[in-house]
Amino acid sequence: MGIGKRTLALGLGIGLLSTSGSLAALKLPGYEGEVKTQIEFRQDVYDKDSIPFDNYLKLDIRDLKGNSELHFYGKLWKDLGYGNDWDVDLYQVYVDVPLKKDRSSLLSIGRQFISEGFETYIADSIKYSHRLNKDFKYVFYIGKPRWFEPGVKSGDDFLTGIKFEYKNYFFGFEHLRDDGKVKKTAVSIGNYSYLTKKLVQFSRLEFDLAHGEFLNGNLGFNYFPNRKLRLTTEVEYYDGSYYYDGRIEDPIFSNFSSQGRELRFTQSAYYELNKVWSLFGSYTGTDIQKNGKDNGHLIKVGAIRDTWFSEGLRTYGALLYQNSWIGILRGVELGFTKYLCEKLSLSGRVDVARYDKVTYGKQWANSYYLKGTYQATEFSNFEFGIDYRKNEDFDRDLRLILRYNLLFWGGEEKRVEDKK
Amino acid sequence: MRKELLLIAIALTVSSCVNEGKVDYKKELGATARFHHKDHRSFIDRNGCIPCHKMNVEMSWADIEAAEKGSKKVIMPSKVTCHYCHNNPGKSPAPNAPTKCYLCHFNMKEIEPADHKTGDWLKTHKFAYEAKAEKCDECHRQKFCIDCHTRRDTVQHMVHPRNYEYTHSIEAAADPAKCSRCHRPTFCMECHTKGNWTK
Repeated sequence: MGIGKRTLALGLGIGLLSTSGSLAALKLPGYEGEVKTQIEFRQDVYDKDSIPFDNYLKLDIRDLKGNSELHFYGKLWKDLGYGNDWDVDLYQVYVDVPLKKDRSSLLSIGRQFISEGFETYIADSIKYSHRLNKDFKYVFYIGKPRWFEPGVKSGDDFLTGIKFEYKNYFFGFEHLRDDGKVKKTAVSIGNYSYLTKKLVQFSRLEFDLAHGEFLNGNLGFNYFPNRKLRLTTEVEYYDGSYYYDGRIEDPIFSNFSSQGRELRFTQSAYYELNKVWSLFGSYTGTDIQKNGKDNGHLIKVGAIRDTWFSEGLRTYGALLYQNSWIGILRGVELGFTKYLCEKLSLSGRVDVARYDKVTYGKQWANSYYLKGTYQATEFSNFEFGIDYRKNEDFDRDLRLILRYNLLFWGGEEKRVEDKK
Repeated sequence: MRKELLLIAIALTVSSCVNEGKVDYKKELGATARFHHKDHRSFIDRNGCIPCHKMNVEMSWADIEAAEKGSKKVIMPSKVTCHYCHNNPGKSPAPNAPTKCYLCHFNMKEIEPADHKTGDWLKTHKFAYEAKAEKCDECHRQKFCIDCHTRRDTVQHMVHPRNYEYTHSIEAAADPAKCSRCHRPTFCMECHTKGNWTK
């Protein structure tokens, strides 16, 4: 990670200097970036409070040799409360090299985001995409996936795949190794098609060829009959179990869904009553194929009042109902965003929940969040947040959040005649 | 402590908005509010006014008065004009023009496509992406994906509300596959095995 820290420091330097204009006289390629610095004072269940201090830099540099581009996104962080060392998470460092002037043939080399018909990865990889014509495109990638969640090591992992897109259909093949063992060798096929201007149909199927498993199947429809009404519906079969070292492993929450399989139905609706009021709702019903009570029901219905262009105010409220074999939850959500003036806006949210779990009975869980955004300059702002939770388990749960956001860009503009 | 925080928040509010006068919401909150000719000076010097202000209408002297009254509407460039430089990867005549949507669109909700406003878009957006990723690229860059798919930032509420830590077990039992879309088992183990979750 040593190289990552140096790169991040260099990028931060460019970002901060660019705002002072001291580099204006230098000839730099076009660049655009974001800096985000945030600190949170967080009461913890332990006596020692946690104070995470996170610094993000996003930087895109264009017009490099051969019209290639460099993309960077990283995080430099430390917990000032716990006193751990500085650490770096490097999400992106890659170069886009166009092999054709219209970028229809593009080579991307480095750490980048990969999502080509399967799960998403950050991978140290080489990706090549080629659009042959308006309808047909293929993407090939090979590399090593990286993980950023605590306790997950990027061991002897390996990823490769190819995806073909034709009109609104796709076909993908992917081989994934986890710590040297085959996790899956899968194919996926799917589509996202406008049957009419108002009706979208989508589907997706995934098979693990290495282990002869049907992993995932989806079929859904979006129906937008007019500007006011939006309806969606979807059914899904999902098998979360996976193979490791030649044997099947329990999926996440295996005690909740012992077979690792799940059948799900989702329905959602959105309706604009008038220019001010909108209604929304969603329902998910699941069968997790477990012995005994195995159905789950998640319902959310609510309303939005939007007077943004007359009063600078948007508010919403929703009712929540969740029912699973482990318990029942009934809750209310309320939120608002208020534009006070050019310099300041406020947003807030209240969540109140009453839940009844088979393990320890009835409980209240409430949270309150208020955030102010102060516009320091046209392209930078400060955010100040107060976050308070109350639950029967914890008394100490107050958080203060300070954040500074900055956008910057500059560099030498490429003239139109130069391009010719 | 809480009283002091409240006082700070009130002081910030009052001092920020004092002497600002009545807010012209339509002006302040619209996408064109942040456009300044001075920011586009080098482009204007090079290309003149016509690339943005088309004014491709024929007029007689009798129309001039009406045209002046309606001139703001007539010559105001449409979003196509702005997007031609600011949201046209690989083809923009000003390749260094910044591309962040929120540079101009203060209220991002106003430009949200219809399918994004459905209740299950968080789950179903992958189908649209897998079939035609370039459609997403029109507005979003990779960072946008990474901020949810990879970044696990304790400070920002990207997906779940703060209350969720207390209540998530009911939803996880009702729909376990929903959790495993984003989280690996070690994410759960961080709390459930280290003793800071007591029940």
